[in-house]
Amino acid sequence: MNIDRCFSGDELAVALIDGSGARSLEDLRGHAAGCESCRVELEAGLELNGRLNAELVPPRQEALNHLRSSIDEMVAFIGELQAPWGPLGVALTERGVTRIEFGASLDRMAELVAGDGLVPEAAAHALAPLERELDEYFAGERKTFDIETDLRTANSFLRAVLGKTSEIPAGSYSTYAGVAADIGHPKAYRAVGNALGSNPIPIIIPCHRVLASGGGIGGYGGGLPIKRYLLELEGATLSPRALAASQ
Amino acid sequence: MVLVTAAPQAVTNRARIDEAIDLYYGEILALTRRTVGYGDAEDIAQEAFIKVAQGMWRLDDNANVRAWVYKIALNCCRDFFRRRRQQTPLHDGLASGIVGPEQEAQQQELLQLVDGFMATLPRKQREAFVLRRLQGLEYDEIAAVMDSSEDAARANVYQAFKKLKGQFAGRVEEYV
Repeated sequence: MNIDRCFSGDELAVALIDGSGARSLEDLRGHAAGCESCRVELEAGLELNGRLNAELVPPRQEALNHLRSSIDEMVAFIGELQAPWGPLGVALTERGVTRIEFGASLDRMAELVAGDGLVPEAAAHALAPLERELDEYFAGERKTFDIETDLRTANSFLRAVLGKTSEIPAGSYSTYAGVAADIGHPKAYRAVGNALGSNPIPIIIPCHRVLASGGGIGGYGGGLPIKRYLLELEGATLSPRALAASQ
Repeated sequence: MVLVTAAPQAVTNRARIDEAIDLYYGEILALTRRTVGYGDAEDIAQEAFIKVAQGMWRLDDNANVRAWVYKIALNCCRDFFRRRRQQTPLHDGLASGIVGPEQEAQQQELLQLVDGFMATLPRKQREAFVLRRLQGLEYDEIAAVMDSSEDAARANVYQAFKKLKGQFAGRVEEYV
């Protein structure tokens, strides 16, 4: 290598930042020893490089603990359970059940809970309490659920609708207009219907117990045969019109 | 009968998240300190790792986790400045954020001169330079983080270095 040739800014950058390139740092030093303008350049480069090497303080342990506990609160255990009619995707946080989705696979549940800002975790053992209660419910041995619900992502209107819906006892039912009146917005029965359509925790929050006024069965995210199945499981007596609609 | 059909995983999502925190939180905090300044660095690092936690399940087992974490962190830094509507982040961030123990302040003082110069660089040059020279990323990682080619990453780093050196050479005597 010809050390007589002045080095370029790129050559200096490569030597100092990457420690590689056609001309090594030693090579540049050799040239700079006899070249005033390159010596100034090299010294500025070395000075800058030295300033960049200042050590940074490590993260605080409290900050790491805070981060880990924030993530703990966001973990949603997901799984796929088998209901009498088919698969049921479920998600459970440390606060309670946060999602039940008809026919949902594990991947779909991961997508749903991630969309809620939660951290999906496939862990069958964590779902045991929910599994047991659902098991007892489908066997006709349980009328109410003891497990908590986690509605952190629901807005206040949805919360109000779901709260009133949860008060409807097994074996009976209300109407969209009835729930609308119960939350103090009697004209909002369509909005109530839409809200119940987005119930994130069907079965446990019994939106199947809300029917249309005038004897119709209304709608259901899982399909009308499942709505009828659940109502009959709970011992409700349906009108002929509701029965005909849910065939 | 209700059957759980969730497949057991060899490595849980949470374990991968914890590993990313163990491996990269320190250097991401260094990145946010260098990018948004000391005052907001911890908040932005936490925000970045919450996003890491939320997105980890989507990440392939053979993905470059480090580059992915950096990309998220850098986006959080950019969002921070968008929120603040600041054009020259490092000056203001550092000036407003110097707090804490004496040694920390001393280290910041050392960096402040360079950081002040860095604030004058175009964003891509500044980011590429921080990632390469201060964070020690390889050029392929910088390219992945910044959605650019490796050649562009190199060019940005060298351009930044030359500009910084020029500023440094011109003003270093005022400080030394």
